[in-house]
Amino acid sequence: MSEAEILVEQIKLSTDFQTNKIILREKILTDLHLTYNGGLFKITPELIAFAATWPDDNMFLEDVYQNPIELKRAEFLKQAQQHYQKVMNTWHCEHAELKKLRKL
Amino acid sequence: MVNTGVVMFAFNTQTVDYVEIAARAAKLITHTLNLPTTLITDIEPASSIKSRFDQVVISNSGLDNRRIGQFESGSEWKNGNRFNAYDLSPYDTTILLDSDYLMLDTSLLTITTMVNDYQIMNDNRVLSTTETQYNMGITSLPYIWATAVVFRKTAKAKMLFDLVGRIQRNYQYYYKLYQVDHDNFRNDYAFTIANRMLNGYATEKTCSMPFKMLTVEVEVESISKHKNMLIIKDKKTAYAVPTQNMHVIDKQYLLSNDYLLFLETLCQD
Repeated sequence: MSEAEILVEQIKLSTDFQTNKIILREKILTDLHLTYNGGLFKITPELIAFAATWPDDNMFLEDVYQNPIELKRAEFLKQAQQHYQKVMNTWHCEHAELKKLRKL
Repeated sequence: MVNTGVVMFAFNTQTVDYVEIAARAAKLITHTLNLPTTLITDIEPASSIKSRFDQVVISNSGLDNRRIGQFESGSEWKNGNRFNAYDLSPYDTTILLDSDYLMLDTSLLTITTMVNDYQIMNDNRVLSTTETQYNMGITSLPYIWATAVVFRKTAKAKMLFDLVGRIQRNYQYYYKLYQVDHDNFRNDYAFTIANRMLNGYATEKTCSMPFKMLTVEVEVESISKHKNMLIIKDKKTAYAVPTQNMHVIDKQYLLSNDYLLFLETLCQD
């Protein structure tokens, strides 16, 4: 392979970190969704904090489809925390991997 | 037990073997979702193709159309008859997909467990741009994407598909009413108009999927897997995206040997 051809191959391998970062974030926002008792929730720090501080064992929360869903607070909180931790961990790992790739 | 499956429409044209693209998509669907697949096509396919689906339904393409856009502009486009998906689907809950939609994650499976009548892809991310909202015309409404529709057999879902049929049959009226840029029929627009009518002419998001679709609109040279990411290369650059569902516009790539090899590697994992 000539020097010019090698250069062309290398340029083709280059990638735009900012575009990749946005697409990765959007995939993570998809992955943050959790089903519970027939509802679909996007797990956010606010949702976890709200569930953690609610004083009763049973509660109702609006899901992404605007339905009120009955929750067993402790059970939901545990699932939400575990799900959030797993997805954020994936985000961190994949973000670190993106940074290693060649940039434009 | 609710019977859930995937339905794809594929009508071959003189330039594109859509049935082969659908057969390749079915392999990925089986691997990723482990759901049965049904092909709806206009000509009895060869037994080697039939064996790649759980069911094949013969139905006419319903419309002679021409493509407008970056790929294969002016070429034949048999995109009618989608409104019959409600009647032709053998499933209680159906994931209706374009054959160029690659099933690489399980997010749509989550959607099938919800009790909504139907859900349509509302937001789209095109790989190489930052634009995420698309209108049917300069003075028209934003449109949704019929690329992926999840529906259950309910009265409201039936009404949606009946409306799409009415819009297809009277498209010359509706495209003018909604000030759509082009008069060639497009399912995205028909579903947008039907969805709007069905929801009281309001921008109603409860029938929308709560996440974005990724569309690869570039001319693809290769797709490969790198750890948990996919590296998509075009002639100028490469994109590193997480492994996720993708709408790939480049049909020639979907028919290439490179894609076939990528598919086989993925399905071995």
